[in-house]
Amino acid sequence: MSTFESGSLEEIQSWVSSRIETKQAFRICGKGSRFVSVNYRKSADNSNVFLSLKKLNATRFFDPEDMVVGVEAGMGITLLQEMLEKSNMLLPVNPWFPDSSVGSIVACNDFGPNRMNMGGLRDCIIGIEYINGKGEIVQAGGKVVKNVSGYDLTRMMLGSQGGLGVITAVNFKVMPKPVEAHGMFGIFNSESWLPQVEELHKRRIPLDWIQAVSTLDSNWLLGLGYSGNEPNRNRIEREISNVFGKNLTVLADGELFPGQKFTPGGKRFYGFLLEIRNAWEMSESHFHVFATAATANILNFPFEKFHKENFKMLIHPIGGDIYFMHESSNRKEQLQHLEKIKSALAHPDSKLRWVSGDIESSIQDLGKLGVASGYSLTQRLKRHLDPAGVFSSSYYDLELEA
Amino acid sequence: MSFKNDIREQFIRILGKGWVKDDQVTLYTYRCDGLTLYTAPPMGVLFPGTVHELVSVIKLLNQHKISFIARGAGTGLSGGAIPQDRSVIIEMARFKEIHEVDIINRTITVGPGVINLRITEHVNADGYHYAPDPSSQKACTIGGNVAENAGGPHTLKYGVTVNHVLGLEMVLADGELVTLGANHFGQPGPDLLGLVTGSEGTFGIITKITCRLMPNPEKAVTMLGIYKSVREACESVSNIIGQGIIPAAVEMLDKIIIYAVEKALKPGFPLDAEAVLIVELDGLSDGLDAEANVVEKLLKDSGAITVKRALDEAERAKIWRARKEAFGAIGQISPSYYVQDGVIPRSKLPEVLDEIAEIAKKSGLTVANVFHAGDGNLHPLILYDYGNQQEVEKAHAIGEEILSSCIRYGGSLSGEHGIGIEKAEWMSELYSGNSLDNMQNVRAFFNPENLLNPGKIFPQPGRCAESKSGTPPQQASSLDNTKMVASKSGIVV
Repeated sequence: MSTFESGSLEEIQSWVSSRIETKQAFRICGKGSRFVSVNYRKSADNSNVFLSLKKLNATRFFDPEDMVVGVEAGMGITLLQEMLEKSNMLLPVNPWFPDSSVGSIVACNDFGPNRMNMGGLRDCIIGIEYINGKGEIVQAGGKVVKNVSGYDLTRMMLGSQGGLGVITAVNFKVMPKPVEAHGMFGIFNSESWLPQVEELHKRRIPLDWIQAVSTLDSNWLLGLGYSGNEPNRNRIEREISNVFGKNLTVLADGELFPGQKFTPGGKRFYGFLLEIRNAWEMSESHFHVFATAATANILNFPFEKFHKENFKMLIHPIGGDIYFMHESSNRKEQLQHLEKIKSALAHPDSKLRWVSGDIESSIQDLGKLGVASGYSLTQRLKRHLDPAGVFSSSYYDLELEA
Repeated sequence: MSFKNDIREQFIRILGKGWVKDDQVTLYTYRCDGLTLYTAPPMGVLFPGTVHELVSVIKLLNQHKISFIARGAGTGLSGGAIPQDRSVIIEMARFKEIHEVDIINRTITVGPGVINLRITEHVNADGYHYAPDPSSQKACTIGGNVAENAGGPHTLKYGVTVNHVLGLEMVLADGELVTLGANHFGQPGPDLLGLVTGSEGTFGIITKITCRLMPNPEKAVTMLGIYKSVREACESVSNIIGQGIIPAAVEMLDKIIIYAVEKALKPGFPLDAEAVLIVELDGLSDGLDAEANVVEKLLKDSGAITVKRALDEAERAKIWRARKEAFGAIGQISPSYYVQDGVIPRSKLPEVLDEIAEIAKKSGLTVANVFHAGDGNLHPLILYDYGNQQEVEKAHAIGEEILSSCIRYGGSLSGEHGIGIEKAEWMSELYSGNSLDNMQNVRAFFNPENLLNPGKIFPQPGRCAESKSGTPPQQASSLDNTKMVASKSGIVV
């Protein structure tokens, strides 16, 4: 394995161009913060050469008055959030992994609990710079919050998982920090919270996030986040209490739920999966899967069955995703778990974003659940934009049945 | 030029006689969209009613190498549906079915010919609405909205079309039917759905769209700030947002627009004001008045002489009608107008508006302003007489100066109207040659023979700017040549 690393855009461009010229594939990495192999362990070309962008990490601009920021791809999300916080702002992005690089959260199209109200990356990305399949540095979008000048290549690169080019800088619109963020929390010894969340959803109460996690003793800890001025918060708390009864505890943002190692909503702007993994005392070799599904599919998911089989889960029920972990660490068991989850997800619109553990997994293991609709078009687009086949990414490797 | 007889017969076999039109009245009707500065009649107009018919028509057009354009209601303001090169227009009005409403997942799936406002009307009783609300929402179709990535006054809080489209079905240039996205966000892989949104009909023809539904706010507080200077009104916008408050909408109208809407609609705006600012907050009723008090103080602190609140829904509706019908109200004071759509950083509003006023003064024409102040999305309306060739030329020149100003201040050519043919030549001012070539390379993937909506978005060879690669768009040789103006865009005026 070899890695090329530079903080100079010109040097990176030159290196990428030479790879294109000689048709030698490589994979892109940011800060190496993803403790599970998000993009599957094997790519079709078995590329073993990496381009690291962690030194390409400068701030290009930050205009607090216009609430826009542009940074290079290697900048860590923690540093970016700290910079924004000084102006009482934040990027409402929810990296799963602590201190992920900006390039990686864009390439993987990360999202999380805040998306429910504040939107995901596709709602706040306004410009991008990347090195394309000809080795050229190209820009799309810009620095303004609304822009329909030409094709939206920012979104084409969003979620491209390193397969369409090397993302070198990204511009975002940012937002003011939520006013007086709070949460209501409670322990549940069954899935009784699911119909209550559904009832709250039907009442159209404007929450910032909802997050439910398995506890170590196989109960559930549910958190419901909200913000606003005092009368607004009081109303939301009344509405939540009307649905859930009086058993929930109100905590200010950042306060820990007593007796638990993980408090829902915690570190949601910085990456929370490491914390939850530690709370569950799991390691990288254990089984990890991340699934997305529509609200109705999540509200009707057989969580009870999975809980009984000792799965640990972190759920964002509205809109929605489920992070599964299991302490089994042999390949056969893990593949069985994967099949169980695939079967339970049922709806073709449900997707598996990644799987990891002891499995030498590939996109083939995920099958159609691992790729978006229009996948054949995506594969053809990759071949068109990366004719030399240098941007190695296993996402594009699934062999579809004829 | 209309259809050749043998081709007309083939279209009739697919669609039926009533859905194939190439008579002179039809050709005249479809010669332009909402941008009336440019006109070019199509070869003919087809009205498919099913996906199967659409696919068959597209395959036939491919076979004969005839270019084609999808069209919704024709309300676009950048000439995106103008049939350059005698393209065939495929009118999508018959795709107006509401396929599915899914309240628990907060989605609605509709045909592209459904009128924007119809979606909200359809789900309003359930307590939901479709958020992007372009001023033309009573007429424009959702398919056109997706093609242009349309916006509207409430995009400041709720986002533009791309933020509200979850999935779509489309027919590619060669007749292949594809599905993108799903019934929720979070799909793996590149966001092709986002890429297609705003591609101005150059990637395919959309046949079905799944949109997000937003809960209706429990309450909205609509305020009218009245100012003695445009600059102070602009500063108010930054002051509100600087306090961490994101209103649902912040819209500005200058004194010319105030005069026009008062004449046409009588909303009760003061005629002696230099500008009014419409600020709307929405959300739960609890706490909203307290937030409105904060905003009212901010408006007054930054120069508002008076701040009025709409006392009831009827007053609120009157204010919004004045805003949304402001373009139409211009008819009270000018025979024609030409609207621009540049975007600038919000903090540059005072400087750019001063510059626009200076440009107008120098030219001798009047420029009115009604725009999305919260987004920095300008809509200068250049008033001119279509029958006066000198004024037509001046209107065009003013538009170009305004675009130049937007770019100079770090902005962009269009916030919600699209590039179309109107601003195509300006793309090379905004993007580097590599970046433009890169975009054209993506177009070459979706539209290799450039049969889908040719002549849009990119500079045309043989005009002022050059396109270095990609499939070169065809020359606009067949545009009406009655009124040519030597200008940067080099297109018919």
